Amino acid sequence: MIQVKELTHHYGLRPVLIDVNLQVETGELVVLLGPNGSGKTTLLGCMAGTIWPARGYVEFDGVKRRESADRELELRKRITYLPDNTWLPKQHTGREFLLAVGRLYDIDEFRLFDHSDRLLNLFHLEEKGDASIESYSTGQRKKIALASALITEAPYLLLDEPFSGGLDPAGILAMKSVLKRLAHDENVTVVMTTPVPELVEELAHRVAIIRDGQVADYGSPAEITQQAGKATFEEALQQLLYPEKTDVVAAYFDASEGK
Amino acid sequence: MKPRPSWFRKLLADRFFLCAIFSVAAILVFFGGFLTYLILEYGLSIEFLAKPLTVGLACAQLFIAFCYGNARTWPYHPTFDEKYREWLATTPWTPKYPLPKGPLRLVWSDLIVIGILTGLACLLASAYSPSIWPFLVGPTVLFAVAVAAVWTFANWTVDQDVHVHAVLWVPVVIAALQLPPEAMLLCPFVMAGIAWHGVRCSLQRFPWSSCEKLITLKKTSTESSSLVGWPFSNLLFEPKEYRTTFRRALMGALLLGAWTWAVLESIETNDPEDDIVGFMGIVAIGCLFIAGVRLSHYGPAICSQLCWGHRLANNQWLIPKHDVVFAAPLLMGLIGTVAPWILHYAFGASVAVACAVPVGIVRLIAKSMGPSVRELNLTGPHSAFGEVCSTNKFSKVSG
Repeated sequence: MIQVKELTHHYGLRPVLIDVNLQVETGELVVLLGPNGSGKTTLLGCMAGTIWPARGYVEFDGVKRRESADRELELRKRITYLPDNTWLPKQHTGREFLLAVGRLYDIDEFRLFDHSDRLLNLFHLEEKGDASIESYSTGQRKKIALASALITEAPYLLLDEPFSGGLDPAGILAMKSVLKRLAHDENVTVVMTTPVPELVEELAHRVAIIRDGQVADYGSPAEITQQAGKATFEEALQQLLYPEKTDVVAAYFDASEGK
Repeated sequence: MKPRPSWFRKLLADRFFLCAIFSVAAILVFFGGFLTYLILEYGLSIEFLAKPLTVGLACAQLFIAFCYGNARTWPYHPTFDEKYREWLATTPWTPKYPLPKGPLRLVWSDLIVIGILTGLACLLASAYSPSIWPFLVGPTVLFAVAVAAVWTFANWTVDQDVHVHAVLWVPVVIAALQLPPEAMLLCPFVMAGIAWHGVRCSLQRFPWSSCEKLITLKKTSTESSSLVGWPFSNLLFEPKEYRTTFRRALMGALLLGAWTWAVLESIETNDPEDDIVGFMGIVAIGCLFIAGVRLSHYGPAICSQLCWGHRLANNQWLIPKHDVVFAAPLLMGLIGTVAPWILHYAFGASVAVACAVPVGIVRLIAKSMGPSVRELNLTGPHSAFGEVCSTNKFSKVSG
C-alpha cells in the first residue's frame, strides 16, 4: 500500500503540490490525471524518491521513504520508476540494457534471460533487440524503456506517461494488456499518468484528479462520473479539470461561425 | 613444441621483460652506432665520449633491473590476473603449496640475473667511470624498488593496510633518524621486506573477499554504469564511499602528517621568515584541496533543489540534515588556514610540526567525519534529476 501524507512541494517560489493526501491499495492501478503543470510528475517523483518534498512524506507498506539507509535501499529494489525522460545507453543493445536493469533488481539470471526474450517479443523488438539502441526509432526507444520497467518484476510500478512518446498502436495495446494483467492477477500496484481519458476509464481502478497542485477528486471512473453528475467520464473530466471552461469547444466554434 | 624450461618459466611469466630487454638493446645499438659514427667521422677520442657512454650504460642497466623487478612480481600475483585468481579460488590451493603460475617469492635465479647485470655494468664502467660503486648497487636497488612498489600495490588491492602503511613509514623513520644519504639506499630493501611479509599474510586470507579494490573499481566504473542511465543509476547504484573506518582514517592521517613533517624538515632554508609564509600557504592550499575532494564525493546530493529560491520559498535557511555535508569541509578549511599559524606563533612549534599536525587532522576529518556518502544519498533531504554523467553515451527518451 502507498500512503501519501500532507505532501507539499515548491519549485523555488512556485508551489507545485499543496497538502496532497492519497492512498493506493496493493494491487490497485491508479491514474494521476490533470492539466499540464498541475503537479502529476512531481507527485510521482516524490513517490519514486527522486524528489524530496518540502513537507509531508510517502510510505510504502508502512515504511517511510529515506527513513534509514538500509530500509531505503530495500524499498528502492521493490519500486520501479519510469520517468518521462529515461536515459538509454546508445552503444549497447536493447537486450543488454534489459539484462543490466534486471541484474540491478537481483533477478535470477535464468528467469532474466527468459523474461527479456518475452518482453522483446511483446513489443515486437525481436530483431531490433540485438542492435544498438542508437539505431532505434523514437517509438522503439519508448518500448525498450517500458520493457526495462517491466523486467524488474517490482511489486510497485510508477510510470510517467507510459502511453506517449511515439508508441505505436501495437505497443499501446500490449502495454495496456500487461498493466491490466499485472494489477488484476499479479497484485502489482501501478501508479501512472496519462493524458488519454479512454485509456483511463478502461484501465484504472481509481483516478486521482490533480488540479493546481491539489487532489480535486479521487475515486473510480464510475464514482467520479456520478459525483460530477455527468453522463460520461469524459464530460466529468472536462468539468473537474477545467470547471470554468466547460464550454470551451462550443465557444471556439461559435466564435468561428460568428465571423 | 617443446615446453619451456622451468627456470625460464620462473623468471619470465610473460613477455614484458623480453620486450624491455629488446627495447634497451635497440637503444644501445643505436647509441653505440651513433658514437662510432662520431668517432669515425669527426675523429673524436674515446676518452671524450666516456661520460655519455657511462651515463647511457648506467641508465640502461637501471632500466633493465627495474623492468626485471616488475616482470618477476607483477605477473605472478593473483590479484593482478583476474582469470588466474578466479581459477585459483576454485582449487584447493593453500599457501603451503607452490603457486601454479610461478613463485611470488624471489628465487636464486634472480640473484644470477641481477649479478650478471651488475657484473656487466661494472666491467664496462670500470673503463670509463672514476667511481664504480653506483654501478655496483644501482641494479640491485632499482630491482628492490620495483619489487617493493608492486608488492605494496598488491597489498593495497587486497586491503593489507597495515603493511602498506608500514612500508610508507620507512622513509619517514629513516629521515627522523637523520642517517647519512647512503643509508637511504637501504630503504627499498626494508620496504620490500615488509611488503613481502604483507604478501604472505594476504595469501593466508586467499581467496580474498569482495573488498578487493581492483574488482570493485572495475565493476562499478565500467560494467554497470555504462549500461543503465537515469533513473536506475541514481536510485539503485550505491555510491562510491569516501568515508572510512576511524582506525584507517587515523593511520592515513598519521602517515600524511609524518610525510609532511619529513619533507619540510629536509628542506634547507636561507630565509626562514619568508619560507614560513610559503610553507603555510602550501599547507592551506593542500588542506582546501582535500576539503574540495571530500565535497566532490558528496556532489550528487548538493543539488539545485536546495538552492536559495527553495530556501526562500520555504523560509528555511538552514536544512540541518542536508547542510551537515558542508560542516567537515568548512572545519578542514579553517584548520588548514589558521592552525599552522597558531601552533607556530602561539605555541612555539617548529614550522615542520606546525604544518604537519593540521595536515594530519584535516586528513583525519576528511576520511572519518560523517555523514557517509551512502547515508546522505539514501536518507538526505535532496532531489535527484534526470541527468547522466556522460550524455554522449546515452540518449534521452522523452514523453
